[in-house]
Amino acid sequence: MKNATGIWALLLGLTLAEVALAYPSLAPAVFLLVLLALSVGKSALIIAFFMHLRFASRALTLALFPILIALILLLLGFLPDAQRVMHAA
Amino acid sequence: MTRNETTWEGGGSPFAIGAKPLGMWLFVVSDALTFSTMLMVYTYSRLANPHWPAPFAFSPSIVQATVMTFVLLSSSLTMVWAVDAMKRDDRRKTVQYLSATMFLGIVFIVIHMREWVHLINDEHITLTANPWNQPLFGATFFGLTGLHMAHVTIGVVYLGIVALGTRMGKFKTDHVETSGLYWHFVDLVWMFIFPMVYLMSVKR
Repeated sequence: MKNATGIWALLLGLTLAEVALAYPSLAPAVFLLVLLALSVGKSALIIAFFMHLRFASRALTLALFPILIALILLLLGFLPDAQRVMHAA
Repeated sequence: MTRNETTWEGGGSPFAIGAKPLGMWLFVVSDALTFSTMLMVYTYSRLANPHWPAPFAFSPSIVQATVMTFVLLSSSLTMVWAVDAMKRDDRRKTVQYLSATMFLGIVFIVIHMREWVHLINDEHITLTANPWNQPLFGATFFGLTGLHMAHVTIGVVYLGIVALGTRMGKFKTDHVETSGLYWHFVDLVWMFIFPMVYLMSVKR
């Protein structure tokens, strides 16, 4: 219970950090990378502690996540193409 | 079955969890791919278009979206407490924490609807048109946040059923744990929608 409250406070802190980073006017691609890193960190905390995957069997983690991560990485592979489209416009 | 089968042969519980949470985990992974694809469509369109709308002013949009994040994160905490209470077989506390989670879910939906009304009435953004002449913005924004809001609404109903079953003594710990997995997933998806959709398009 105490642990969950600490994770909740950490998640709130990371959210406020994201909001603070939205205003110094970073380049969109750089800002996106920073936000993605923070979001992945926040979701890892939720999955590990709130969804209790940290305490589940390793077999479950290995069955569920490698394919999900691989597919998301494949999707991310399309993002650099957005820059090509923008410069071609 | 005449003998004890090994885990590899299908005996025992290979993933050391019950059928209900395993089923929910499989749903969560498939649903995560649906949201990933929609977020990718939004982000690709955002990066590819130098004239992408930036309608999210600090007040009310970013303030409201930050409060919504706070509300969803808090609802995840009350959900953790509900599962913890159920493991101690304290059904009264479990129902209280589930009710608190549902209440926070409803608060999230109400604030989100206010945000939608503001964007439609004040910023003149609809599914197919907006003042920036970028129709993809409305389609991707309302599609993505609408799908998420539908998940929150279904989650509130689901938790209501679980709370009722728990109160009547019909449901066990794995029912509450399974509903918790769903609710935390809804929270997790918002952790990507908030920065990718709102913070990437702030009005400066």
